Order: sequence, then C-alpha cells, then structure tokens
Amino acid sequence: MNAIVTHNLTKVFASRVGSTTAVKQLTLMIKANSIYGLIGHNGAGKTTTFMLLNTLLEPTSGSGLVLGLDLVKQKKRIRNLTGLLTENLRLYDELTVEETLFFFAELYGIKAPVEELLRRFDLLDWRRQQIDKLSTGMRKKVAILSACIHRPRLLFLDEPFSGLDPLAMQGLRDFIRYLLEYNEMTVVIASHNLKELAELCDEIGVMKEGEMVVSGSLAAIKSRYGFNDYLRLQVDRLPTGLEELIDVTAPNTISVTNKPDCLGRVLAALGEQGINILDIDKEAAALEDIYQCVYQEAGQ
Amino acid sequence: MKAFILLKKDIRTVLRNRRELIWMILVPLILLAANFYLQDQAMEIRVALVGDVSLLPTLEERIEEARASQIKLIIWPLREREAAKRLENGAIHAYLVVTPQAARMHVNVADTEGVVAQAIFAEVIRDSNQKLAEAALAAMVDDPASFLLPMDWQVVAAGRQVSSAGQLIFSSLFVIMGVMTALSLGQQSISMERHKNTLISLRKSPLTDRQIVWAKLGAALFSTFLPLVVIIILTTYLLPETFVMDPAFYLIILAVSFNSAALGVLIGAYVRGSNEGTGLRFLLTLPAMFLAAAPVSLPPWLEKITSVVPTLVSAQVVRSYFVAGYSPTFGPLAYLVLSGVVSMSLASSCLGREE
Repeated sequence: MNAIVTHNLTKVFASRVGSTTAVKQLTLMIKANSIYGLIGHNGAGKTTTFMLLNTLLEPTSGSGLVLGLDLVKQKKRIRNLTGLLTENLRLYDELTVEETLFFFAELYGIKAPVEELLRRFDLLDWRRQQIDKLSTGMRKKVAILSACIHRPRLLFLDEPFSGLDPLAMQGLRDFIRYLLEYNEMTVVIASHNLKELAELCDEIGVMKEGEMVVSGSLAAIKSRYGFNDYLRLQVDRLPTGLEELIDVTAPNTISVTNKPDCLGRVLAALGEQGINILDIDKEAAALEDIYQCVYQEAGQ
Repeated sequence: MKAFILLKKDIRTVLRNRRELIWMILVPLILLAANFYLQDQAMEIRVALVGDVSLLPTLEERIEEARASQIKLIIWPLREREAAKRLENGAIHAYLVVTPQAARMHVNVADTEGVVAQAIFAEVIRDSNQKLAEAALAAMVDDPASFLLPMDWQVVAAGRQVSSAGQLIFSSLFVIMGVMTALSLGQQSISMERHKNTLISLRKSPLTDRQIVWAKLGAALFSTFLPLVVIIILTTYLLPETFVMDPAFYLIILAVSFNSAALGVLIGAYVRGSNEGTGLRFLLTLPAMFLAAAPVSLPPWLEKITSVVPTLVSAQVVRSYFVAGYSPTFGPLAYLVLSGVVSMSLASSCLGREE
C-alpha cells in the first residue's frame, strides 16, 4: 500500500513581479511504513512539497492522495493523520518540555503518555526545564515528539539533522527507526545530510527546480546512473591479466566492482595465480557522488 | 474550546516573560510620573483684561501673591470683541472686563483652568468676605470706590475646550497603552509564531485559522490589560477619581484596545516581513500619538480623516474623553468595535496566504 500518491502535482506562486513554479508536475509514490528521503538544492521545492502534502498549501493543478485521502477535499482528516516538523522549528522558549508536549497533545484532543515518551527518549530529567535552556539536540527531540505526539501515520521531517552533533544524529536516527518499527509510521525526510539519508532511507527522491528528477531505492538509482559499490582487496602481490576488471588503488591493493560475476572472475584468477588476500574492505558509492551526477545529468 | 488551549499557552508565555512584563508596567509608570510632574509645572491659565489697562501691573502683582499653587497666570489687555472671540475658540480661559462702575468676568467653566481662574479672581476681587476684598482692592488702586461694585460672572459654556497639559498627557498615556501596546502585541502574537515556525504547527493542528486569530487577540488584550490594571492599582490614590472610578473609562479602553489589537493581528497575519510590519505599525500609531497630545483643535479636513482611520478614531475618543471633562462619545466606540470585528475576519482569511 502507498502512503502517498501524487499525479502531476503543481504549485505556482503568483506575485506582482511574476509567477514562480515551486513544484512542477510532481508524480510520486511513497510506500507505507517506509522511510523516504527527499534531496535537492535550496529552492528545489522540497518544503513546498511538504506543505502541499500536509494540505497547508492548495495545489495549482494536479491531484494527490495522502493515506488514501484526497489532498484538496479531505484536508482536515489528512492534517489529523500527518505530523510535520518544519525546518528550524524553535518551539516556545518559555514553556517547559512537559508543557510543550501537553500543549500539542491538547490541541489534538488526545491524552498522550507524555511521561512514558519522555522516559523513552531520555528527557525525563529535563521535563521541567524551559525549552530555551535545552541543547540543540534535545530541542530537536522535543520538536519531533511534539510533531508526532498525536501518533500520526505519516511524519514529515524537514532538515531534522541540521545543527546536531554526531552523537545527537545517531540518537535521532535511532529515534526515527523506533517510530517506524513500533508505530508503523511512514516517514518522509528532506535533508541535505546525504550520509544520514543513505543510512536511513528505503527510497530516495532527487528534486531539481520543482521537478522530481529521479525516485526509487538507492540500489536502483545507483544502477541507473552506473554507480557501483567496490571491494578493496589487499593482496601479497598484484595479479596479471585482470586490467579490465580491477583498479590498482595503492601498492598491493586492488579495487573490484561488487557484482557477483565480476567478483567471481577476479577471485578465481587470484586463486589460479596463487595470490593471497590479506584484507578486504567494502567501499560504497557515496550518495553525494550520485546526487551530483543526477543533478548534472538533469541540467543537460 | 481549542482556541482556549492556545490562549492559555499564550498567557502562560506572557507571565513567564517577566523582564518584558516589568518593562510593560515600568514604562507607563514613568510616563505617569512625568505626567504628574508636567501637570504640576505646566498649568497655565490665560486671562485677558479688557478696560483699564493701567490696572494690569497691580492686578498681576496682587494675583501672584494671592494664588497658592504653581499656576502660571498670564494676563494681557485686549478689546472686548477680540477677547470674546478668543474665549469662544478656546485660545483663552477667561477675560475680565474692568470699568469704573463694575468688574465683569467671562469664564469657560468647561475647563479646569477656567474654574481655577474664576476662583483666583473671586479671591482677589470679590472675596466672600467683603471687607477683605475691599482691603485688597484698596491696596490695588488709588480710588477703591471705583472697584467696590458687585462683580458680575458670566459663564461661557459654549466655548471650545482649552486642553491642559495634564489632560493631554493622560490622553496620550492611555493612547500609548490602548493603541500602541495592543496593536504591537497583536501583531507580535502572530509574527512571533511565524518567526519561530510554530505557526505552521498550529495551522496543521485541528485549530482553524479563525480560532488561532481570536486566541491571539485574547492574548494581546490580556497583555494590554495586565499592566494597565497593575498601574491603576499602584496609583489608585494618585489618579483622579473622575476617571478611575468611571465605568465609561474602562469601556473606552476596552473598545480602543480591542480595535487596536485586532488591527495588529491583521497586520501580523497579512504582512510577511518584520520590517514591513513594523513600518505599517508606526504609520498607524504615531499619528495617533500626536493626535492624542495635540494641544490645538484640528482643522475640519483632518477631523474627517480622524473619524475614519481606526487608530486615529481611538486617539480622538480617548482625547475627547479626557479633554471634555470625562464624558464618552458612544458613536465612535461602536465604530471601533465593528471595525475590530472586520479586522479579525480579514486576519482569519489572510493567515494562510501562501504559507
């Protein structure tokens, strides 16, 4: 089942100086109970897409279903079933952690297990601390909790990793995985942190100037753009006759494409030539490289 | 009921922000202190003298000795027709006609200054104790007999109001609190939510745009009235009972604050950039401030403008209440309430504008 299906979704902002097409004929399918990553330069249309999918903006044309509900006709129901963490959400500095969560729970008319949530996310000791006294990582946690306090089925996170240290990023990654695992939530993340997205997401979409350039699993995108993962083998001496299949990256170190046929042939040749493998290291194609390639190709 | 949840949160936020709260109380208190100081210093009574101008220096000297307060009495000679015209248009508070047969005084009793002038002259010229008056007059002129005639008081109630500095400062103080503070708080209540990116969270919640703007209006009014109530409690014994105990005064402040806060909410909902919002706010409130403190009557074309622009209507309503001897005008109050409701309706439809 798909959590999001859109067809030619378009948003044009009209102003006195002219009109800007922020989202151009977006056709998208995001599977339920998965993590989807949306990447693109600033102004690519990610935030506008989030606003459209949360019914905070009306599409200029096109249609869409969010959790099976019509984007234009069933706004109220969609808003109740989705959660949204906006970029740079600062919350209310004067409220405490606990008051913030109770406030959002009350707005949605639910009795949230706030204490349990705070305990689960190591915030119990900070429950009576005002938001402005918290670290960036903790504030981010509270912001995400407030966005999903009403147990939405679909959660949108806009730049959740910005301003976080590596430890806090790790915590946030675990937190998102927990949401997916225990709450059967679908999570859509827009971020510039490609490394985190590569680790977390089941599928990735690349947007450029309002258009979706490519969307699918990371493996499918890699394959489509000719990117491969590599195995780096440290050997006791370099083999001969394998120039087409290997790259010599350092003394006694060869790099082989991580594909069964290619790897099989190299390993067989090493065996035949009596070469010993001393160490193996996996080298994945970086999402950054794929992203740059996709952007360049879309530009052409 | 959802709007109350947001209102409760906003009130809690206001009460937690103690530094801002102290300033909101302290600034009007300072203005109030300045008001009392200026009121004490600047009471100026303008009285024209018609008739025997040779009496002027003696009269001035005598009056200077007689008066007990810090009142500055200005007396100068005029022709009666000119004096009557000036009294009518509010340029002077009274004029005294002195002839060998009688002393006659024309006073605008609608003004505090006119009443004070009447009292001072009564003391000097026609004291209830006739003997004292005779003695006083004997000391003033060579021929006391020419003055020992009954004084004739003529009251001019139709004359325009002559505003005292104190009344004008009261007027501007309450315009600052009712108009400037409420408008500013109304605007900030929305623009701060937008600045913090929390407005999207609110709009995404089950709250409707209408509920959001009305809750924000409630919070702005709470923040306007809280310092006002504290100030009135702190200065109960200093403020004139004429308006502190007058329900009409609170009705005026309520209508003015409601209208201004609603206008602020509308600006906050409509305007995206903070500079644009601040500019618009000043454009609406500064003329209101000047109007509240203006010591002169307005030309007719300006009066027409002040009867349409809500902030200027508010300033006029407050000003006329203080200047016209604490009597409210209900027509403009109804206009303020109505235009406030219209502002709220527009704010509700503007809130989601290309968010």
